[in-house]
Amino acid sequence: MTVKTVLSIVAGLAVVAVLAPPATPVQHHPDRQKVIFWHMWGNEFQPVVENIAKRFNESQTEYEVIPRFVPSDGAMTKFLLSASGGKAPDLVSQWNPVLGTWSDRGLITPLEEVMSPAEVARYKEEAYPIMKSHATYKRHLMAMIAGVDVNAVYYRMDQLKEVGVDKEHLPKTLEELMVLAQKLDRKDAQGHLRRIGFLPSSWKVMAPSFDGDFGTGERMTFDTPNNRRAAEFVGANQKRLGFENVSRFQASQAADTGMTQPLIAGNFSMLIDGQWRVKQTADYAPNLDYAISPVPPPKGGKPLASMTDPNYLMIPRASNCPKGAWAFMKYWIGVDDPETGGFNTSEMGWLPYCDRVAHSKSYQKYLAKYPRYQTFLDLVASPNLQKFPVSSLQTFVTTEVGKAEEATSRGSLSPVAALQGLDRTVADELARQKRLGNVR
Amino acid sequence: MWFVDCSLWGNLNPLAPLPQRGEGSFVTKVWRENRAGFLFISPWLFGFLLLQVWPFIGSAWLSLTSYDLVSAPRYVGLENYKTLVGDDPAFWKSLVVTLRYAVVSVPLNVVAGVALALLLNVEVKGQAIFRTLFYLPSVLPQVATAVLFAWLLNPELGLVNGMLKLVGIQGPAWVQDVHWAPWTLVLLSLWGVGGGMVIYLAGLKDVPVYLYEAATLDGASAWQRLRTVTLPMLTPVIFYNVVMGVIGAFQTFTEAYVMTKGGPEGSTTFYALYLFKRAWENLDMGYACAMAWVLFLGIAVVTLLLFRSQKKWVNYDR
Repeated sequence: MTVKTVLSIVAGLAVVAVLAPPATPVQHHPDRQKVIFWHMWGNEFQPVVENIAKRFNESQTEYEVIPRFVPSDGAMTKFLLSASGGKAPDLVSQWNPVLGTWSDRGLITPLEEVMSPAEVARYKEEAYPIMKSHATYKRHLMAMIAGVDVNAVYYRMDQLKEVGVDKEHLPKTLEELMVLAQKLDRKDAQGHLRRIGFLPSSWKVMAPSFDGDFGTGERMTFDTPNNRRAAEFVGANQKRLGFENVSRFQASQAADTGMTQPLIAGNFSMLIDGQWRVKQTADYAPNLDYAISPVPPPKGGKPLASMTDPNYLMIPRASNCPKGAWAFMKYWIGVDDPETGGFNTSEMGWLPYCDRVAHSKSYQKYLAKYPRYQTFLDLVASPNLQKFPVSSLQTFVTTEVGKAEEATSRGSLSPVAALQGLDRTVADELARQKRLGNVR
Repeated sequence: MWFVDCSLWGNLNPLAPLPQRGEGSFVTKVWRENRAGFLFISPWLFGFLLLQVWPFIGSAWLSLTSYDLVSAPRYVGLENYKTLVGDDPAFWKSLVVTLRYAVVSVPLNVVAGVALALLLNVEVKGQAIFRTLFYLPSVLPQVATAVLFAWLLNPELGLVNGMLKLVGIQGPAWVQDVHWAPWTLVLLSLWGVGGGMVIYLAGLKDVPVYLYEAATLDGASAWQRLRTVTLPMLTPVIFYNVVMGVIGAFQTFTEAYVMTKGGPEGSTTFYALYLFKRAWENLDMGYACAMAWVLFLGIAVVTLLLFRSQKKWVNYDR
């Protein structure tokens, strides 16, 4: 066989590969109604999600959930294109701030249309307030919350021991924590950061501890005295370490997954992170010595406070099988069967949506296995949890907050200027949307 | 073998005589005599009309509407254009970022391309290999290149700063630094200089040898031959590359989208990237269409100016 022939075959195969239609989802039970489920959980979470779907498919005979992983980068665009083309999946998950935008544009179905009145009443009665708040938009249940991300401080005890701190003497206030953080910073001979004691990088995350908030979807306000305190706290600590030093240090971090996630990598002695790290750390570094506590409040601040971010499960308006989608959502979080919900939730390393699931044997077994997780369970019922305002401008506002946070953390804008600028930008956009008739 | 009857296109001239009675209309005549040709190009024609002409016209309409991709477009007149010009600092910032990039990267690419072509035009052993090596980067996918350079330019772990460190220089933070990021992307544009270089090489081959012989007989030095023979004879090719370069620079998107997402602090938010964000993150499709039209008109004006300027500096005298 000549080189030319081989090249021709390769070229031919390449053309076939490019032109071949995409693989159709594998359906193992053609007699059942298909529920196409687009989710964004990759890496180690993908098999967990697929197993939840598999168990659901084995648990009943009416529906078959077919999970499809859609990378988070293009997930929004892909969904919007599919929805506008009238061929959306039957169930979609998202952790981007889309609830207000998608609800206002009629892209997703209010769950009251698929839930029975009894189910609605029970959900409203038993769900933790923060879960209910995330699930509700303009008085309608627009999503189920598969899990809510709550923040706490993780401590690398092996590093804290270097400065004589043990688990019984963790910082009680944010001020104490910062004193400790400075002792834990490490630089090399050239003055480059090699380890950071504690790096508050987002004033959105810190605001609840300072008793700050951003208002509601109808009336967002950023420049408030307590938000200023949070922003100034973040800015001052970035400045202490040097904006460029921090930027370089952060660029040197490996991928935030598995073995290289920051807690295991040990690049930060103390860091704010979500509850899923507990299981992830147990899976990848079972012998790591660490502790968890709620974010210690600053002077005049709030204890047991955290900004929270939801993982939505939503039924697109164009879903061909909304009943099947709802059946799977119920199965996932444990509306009918708390034992199943407890097991599914613990498999993801997440928080249950209500006490009934939290008290299930399966979830209690998880807690017994990972006792550090109790901190998050204490937090999820706290009245000091906050969510970011939900509105049809949610995506725009989140992007602008990100820009303002970046400018603050790099020292390009003072915290006050950043917050004032944010208020102006959001007000301008709101005014424009009103002029266009998109917002009343 | 079928070929287009070019003589018929003379009738496209508005001053040409109209078809006489009995000959049928112009369209009928063109169709009758070129039916086979139109049928042969129909797959392309169909794609062109459906995927280019129709969206082109559609976007003009959408730019006058408020459209979120899901609901029906709603006519808002010139509101999108008014906001763009009078009420959107991010629009102006993205325009400045793009213009700055175009103004620096296009001339830089021309100089680098011509210089490379001159070097690779010298008869040396392995000339073909060198040409291939310099051309290869320009055919690599942009996304793969951007990902590769994101790692190469990592301020702490990257190969570039690692090598600079060996000679005692602390490299900058490249795309992480608000001041360096735009210029890093300009430098990165040189990675694809091989594409232009091949065209310059073809242009160099087209320069008549007798001009060099005459210049040499007149005692011209190598520099004088370059300045008075090579470069003037190369100006049509340079002009072509400048026009294409300007159009490409105004549409810069991939490197910024992959490497910086427009940051840090908007320093690499190019016009096309801002347009994309408006369309797909904010579902502001009408506004994005207005931006696309402003971009189109901007490119058209700049291209027109370049065409008008060519009388002064492009040499078509062969």
